[in-house]
Amino acid sequence: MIEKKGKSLRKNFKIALIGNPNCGKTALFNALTGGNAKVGNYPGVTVERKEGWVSSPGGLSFNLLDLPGTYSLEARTPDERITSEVLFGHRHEEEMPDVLIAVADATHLERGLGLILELRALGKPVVLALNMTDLAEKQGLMLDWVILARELGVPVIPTVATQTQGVQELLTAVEHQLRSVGGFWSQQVPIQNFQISHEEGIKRRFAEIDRILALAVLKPSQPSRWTDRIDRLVLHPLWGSLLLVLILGLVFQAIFTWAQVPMELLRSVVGWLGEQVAHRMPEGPLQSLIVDGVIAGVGSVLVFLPQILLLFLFILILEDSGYMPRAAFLMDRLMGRVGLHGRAFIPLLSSFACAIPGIMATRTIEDRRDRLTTILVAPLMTCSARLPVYSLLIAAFIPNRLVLGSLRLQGLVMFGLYFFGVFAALMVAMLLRRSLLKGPKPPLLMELPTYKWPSPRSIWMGLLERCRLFARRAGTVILAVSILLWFLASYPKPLQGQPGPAIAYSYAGRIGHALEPWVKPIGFNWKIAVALIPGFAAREVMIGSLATVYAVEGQGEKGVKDILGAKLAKDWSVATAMSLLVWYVLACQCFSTLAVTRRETNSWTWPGFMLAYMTCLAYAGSFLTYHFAVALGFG
Amino acid sequence: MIDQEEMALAIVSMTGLVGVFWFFRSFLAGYVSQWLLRHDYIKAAMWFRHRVALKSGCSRCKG
Repeated sequence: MIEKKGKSLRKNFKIALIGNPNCGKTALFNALTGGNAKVGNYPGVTVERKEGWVSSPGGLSFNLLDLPGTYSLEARTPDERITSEVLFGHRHEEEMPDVLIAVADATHLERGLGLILELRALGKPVVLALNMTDLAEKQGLMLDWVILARELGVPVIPTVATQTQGVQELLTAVEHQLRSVGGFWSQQVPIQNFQISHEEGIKRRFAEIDRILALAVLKPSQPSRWTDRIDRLVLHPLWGSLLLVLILGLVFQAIFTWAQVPMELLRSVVGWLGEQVAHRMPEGPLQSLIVDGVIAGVGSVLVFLPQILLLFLFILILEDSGYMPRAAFLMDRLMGRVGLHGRAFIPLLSSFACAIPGIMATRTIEDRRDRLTTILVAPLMTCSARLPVYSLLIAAFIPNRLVLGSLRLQGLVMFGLYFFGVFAALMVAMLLRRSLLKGPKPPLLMELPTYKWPSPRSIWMGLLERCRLFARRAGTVILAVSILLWFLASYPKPLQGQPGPAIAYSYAGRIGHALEPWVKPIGFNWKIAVALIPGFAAREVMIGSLATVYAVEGQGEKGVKDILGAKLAKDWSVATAMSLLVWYVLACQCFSTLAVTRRETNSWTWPGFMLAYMTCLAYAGSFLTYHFAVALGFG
Repeated sequence: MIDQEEMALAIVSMTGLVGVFWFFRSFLAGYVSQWLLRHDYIKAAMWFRHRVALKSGCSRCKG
């Protein structure tokens, strides 16, 4: 590395992106790096660390660090603390940034300016990316960024991150900042003089914000009414709630209907692959491992990729358009009644994708009891890993007929399972808030962003990320579990002349039969008991495990080419399938969720409590469902 | 002609072994980086700490 002030520059520079939540910081990060990023965690905490690489037009290489969103350097939540610690140089493993790119939402500049003034006070080179200038323009806001740059004393670059506008100009400005300071800046941060928490300091800061806004921003005399008009319907207590139910209903209908063709295609590819290997290899244990273990196990999970992608497509569209905070606003009244904090909505909503980011997102909740309640109920929200299990059982046991006009019964059942998860979460939250975690409920203060068209680019990148995660999981955990389960289901082999299927003598058979007395009252057979254990690694692994167990059991049955769903329909009763569905809604079948709860609560007590209450709840729910269904004649 | 049974069992063993290593990766990473430090392989220890141990979530290196 060469470090000569004012002449030549180092090869790699560290640039940090910092801004308020929802100011388009991540979109700008994606626009700058083109998705070339490494995602990890900050050591010691479960705050996501995102780093990317980008070259400037002048040929400099930058390591771009996406810092967690914050409103102030006076940190209140764990996420905000990370941002402050990195900027003050208190995180030893993190090199201090050479230049800061402050990102501000041009439509809410008053919020962003406070943070920029704090950053400026740090005495570090800052470039302001004034993002969403297109929306500001549409709202009739007139921003004079020349005046803004003069008053703030930092370069200001207008950007539209979702359309990659202003990205090159921003990089040039960063490069210019680096060249003007020679790539150096003091490691000594004037933290002692940085006392914005004092009342006088805060007053001065607000006065400064007002002064700059008065000079640089001209607000329209007649503000845009589009958002207000849409909100009149969307936020209406009755029509808004109905619209929310309608949107969710449509999402689940679409997941079932639209995903059919790609799922069938994937299923036939997996089937074809299995047949090819079976034809080309002589019969034997290796052939069985590949066909019954790897292809049946991994393939049976992979076919659900289209449904998962469709679910995320809808989630991303709703998030990007600005509808999600409205849904939070609508749900606040209901959540407030059961004692959940309004801020719990976003973590619970994230839990529809996966409970892990959901539990991590509870860091925005300040009160310990509110946060614990949200963490404890987050795994009851239906995560995407449950989707393959639901789909498999619904497709096998629920007829795909039309009901109530044009609604499909399978889609309705899926919607019902999601609704059941939400209902269970609300009930458990209510019980917790009235017993173990009693306390007052603070009011919800939230800002509703303006509506905007979802950006195809960010949706595409979001889907690509899900695809990568799913493929990685299929290629690692699911593959390994399928191989190990094949071994457990195939060995030891029965002695000559021993009656019954060979799998009954295997390790898996013995484990399953040992567990059977425990699961028989809820309608499960020994094969389900075996598949539930690896399901702790990841919920969808259960499908791969069932596929492997049934494939190994069906060895030698010539002409049997049934897909897993058909095999289950032959072997299980409807009551068993319903009991298993209820088990999957309520049980804590995920070791990662317990591990992240341990990290977030810093104790094994709460994950232990979570596992215990969810297992009891699931067992009771499955028991009642099974016996009720048997009494109705579905046994 | 390969012995199918031997091959299948070798794959299963390798998978099991990798699985065990993966499960205990943070502990292993911690021990390796500490061993390197104790034996004065400072550069190697720092490389290992930053490239492997911190990423594996090793509690010994979170300092």
